[in-house]
Amino acid sequence: MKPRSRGPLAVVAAALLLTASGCAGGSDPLANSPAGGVDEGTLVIGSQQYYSNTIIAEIYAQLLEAAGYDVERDFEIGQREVYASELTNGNIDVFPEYTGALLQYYDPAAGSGTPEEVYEALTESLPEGLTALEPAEATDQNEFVVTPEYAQEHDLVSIGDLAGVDDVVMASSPEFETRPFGPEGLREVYGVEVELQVIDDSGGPLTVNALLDGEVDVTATIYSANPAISEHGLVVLEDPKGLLPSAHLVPVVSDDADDEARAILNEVHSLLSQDELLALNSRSVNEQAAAEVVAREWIEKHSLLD
Amino acid sequence: MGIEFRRVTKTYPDGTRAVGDFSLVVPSHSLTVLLGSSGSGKTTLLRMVNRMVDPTSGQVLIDDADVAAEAPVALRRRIGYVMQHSGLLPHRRVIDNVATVPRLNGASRREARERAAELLAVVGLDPSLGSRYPGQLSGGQQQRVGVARALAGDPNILLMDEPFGSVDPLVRIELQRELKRIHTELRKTIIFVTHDIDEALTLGDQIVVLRPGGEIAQTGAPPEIVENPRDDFVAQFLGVAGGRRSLRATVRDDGGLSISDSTGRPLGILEALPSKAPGSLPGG
Amino acid sequence: MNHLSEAVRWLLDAATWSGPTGLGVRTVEHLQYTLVAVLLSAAIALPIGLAIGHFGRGKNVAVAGTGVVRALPTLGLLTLVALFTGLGLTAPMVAFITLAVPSIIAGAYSGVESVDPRVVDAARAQGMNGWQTLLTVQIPLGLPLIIGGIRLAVLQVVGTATIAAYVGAGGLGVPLFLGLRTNDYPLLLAASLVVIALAIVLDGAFDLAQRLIRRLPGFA
Repeated sequence: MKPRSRGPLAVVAAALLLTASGCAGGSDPLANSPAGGVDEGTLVIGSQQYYSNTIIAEIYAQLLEAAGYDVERDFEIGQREVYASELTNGNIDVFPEYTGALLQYYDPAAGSGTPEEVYEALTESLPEGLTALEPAEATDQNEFVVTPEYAQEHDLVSIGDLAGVDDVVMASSPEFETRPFGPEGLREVYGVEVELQVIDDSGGPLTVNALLDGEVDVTATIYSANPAISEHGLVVLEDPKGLLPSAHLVPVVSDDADDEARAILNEVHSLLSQDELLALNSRSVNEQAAAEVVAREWIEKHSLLD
Repeated sequence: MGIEFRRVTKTYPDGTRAVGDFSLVVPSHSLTVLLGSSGSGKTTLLRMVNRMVDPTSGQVLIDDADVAAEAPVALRRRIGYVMQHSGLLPHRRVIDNVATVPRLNGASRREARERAAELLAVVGLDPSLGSRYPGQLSGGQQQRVGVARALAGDPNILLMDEPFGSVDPLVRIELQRELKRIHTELRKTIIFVTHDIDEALTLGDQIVVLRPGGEIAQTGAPPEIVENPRDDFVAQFLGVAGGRRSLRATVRDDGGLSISDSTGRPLGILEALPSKAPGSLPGG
Repeated sequence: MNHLSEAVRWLLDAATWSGPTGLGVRTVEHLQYTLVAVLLSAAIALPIGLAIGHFGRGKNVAVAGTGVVRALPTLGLLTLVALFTGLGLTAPMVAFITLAVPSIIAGAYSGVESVDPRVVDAARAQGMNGWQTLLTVQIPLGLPLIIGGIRLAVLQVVGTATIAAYVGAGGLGVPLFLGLRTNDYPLLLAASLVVIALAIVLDGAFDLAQRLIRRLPGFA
């Protein structure tokens, strides 16, 4: 019996050692570097571990390829903390990003503001060698979302209206409590107290179910581009005091991206209205269509290759 | 408690035929030995009496009642069973092992243990061994405990499956002697299975010599079998023809005869011939 | 070694463990989930495994069935069940029980099978019925392996119980996932270390129990 029962222990211990051993020198042990030896002239396009982001990146990739660029796809890398260093040191050349979120990463002290202010602050805070191009109308940002029934019951239009409601339960991610727009920010800016209920599926079916069943009253994990909003007629609470960071879709490029490439990317973003983004996401979620297919058909729909 | 096998057969699902058309009467109070080598079906036949095995066809009767009509568990509680490797429960003390059947039959622990202590004495063991565990006993002691356990429920029938096979020869002779004594005292009906001819001849009132497949080669009391083996199989099995039991005598200087077997191995001394014997022996 | 020493320092600080959301509470929750899950699993799995061993039938079905069940990804199962049962402990419990049951079944029938068949035969020949044979002979003598199956189940559950945090329950998954999502490596490591420590302690306890049983009369 003894060898078998050591199995799980050994696996856990090995995983622990691997994690621990990578921490010498303070480098990021979870950094994922693309294959070395990338040719001059090859553009490396990255994306987050997020289907919506990957669709945008795939649109970039197909258009740039059609324009004659050598393109390398490095998709689904992970969260920002993971791929940011790769962006900074130029291993990734093109990345679809979100204004407010990226700003918060490079400048945690930055206050929120109007979308224009956020964009300006972002361009200033980006390190050498990185540029933020033209932001799209579409956003994919934190929202506080409730069911239409709940909104009607408590007369909710903006976030601040929650202050008068008792026992508000909010679905959140594990890290929400550490965010500036988390419980602390809610309390300071709007005087709203919430009880957190962690549901770790990033606004997925568990969260939607919990919201619709009334197990939670409001969720912080359904982003503005989540197709569930239109599917269930959910209500997005207004944010007049700008607590939540605005996050417009914006291409971030390294110096290796030339003017022609940048023009292509900007054209994409000029066509990305909120509805367009919602439609793209909806196709992926509801029809299970692959990023490659969704991207191609969107390009055709807008005749971008003619 | 007479036992009868009536045209019993046993065929296993894979087709092997362990026993074919076996019939036998085991008289009450007798010690009947089923003698044969492996494959003769002797253990199978034994285990039919307490329904550890059920016959494919035919009947086994105890006092004219078919055992198939009785629930196996109740049947087994009134029949004693001893196997080759004692089969004692290793995690129970000796005394509790012996007390098994009385306890199953509803006796209180105290009553059952008292009875068990008596029985340890009956099989020639120091009752103080009762507080030990089987693992602390020698092979011979364990077998005695096995016999005590089989007797504890005061059964009328005792089934013994090569019970002395795994102990050393001196202990075996001792145990055989004990068994004969117990049989004489307690008058149980015993069916004893063995492949050892000497053991059979020592113990049996009635010996049933079995061929492979449970076929009876000969049935009879020991002297009859030895003196009148029915056929070559029996003769060979017993070592009668030209074997160990073919004896020679040479006259001794001191009087009497020195007896040895056909290989010249000395067996013993015959001091005097019976007065009625002819001067020369048959065949010589 | 920055992160690891940071993690250890944090663990050694008494303040870390106190408070309603401190590590102490999380550890207790974690152990509670494990205990309840294993108890429920044993209630389901022991009768099945013991029956398979006792009757000598159904092992193929059990092996095939548990093979399929073992292949299910636990987190996926958790999410699937949570779609029906919502938040709370039901979905995690279902996932943990699915994880633990195969090991307990295997341990139970192995334990029964490990008993010397001659002893079982003798017990039946003395007139013990099925239940008596099971309870007085097969279970006591098969105990080391039966416990071995439970031991394995406990280890599997204690390592996986972190996923309860996925649906907002407690346990050591809470600090673990928080550390993961905020890239707070010391926190991640610290939570992992506590889970490993629990596993080691529990494993050791079961090992001791098995050894003590094997010292009793009746075991080789």
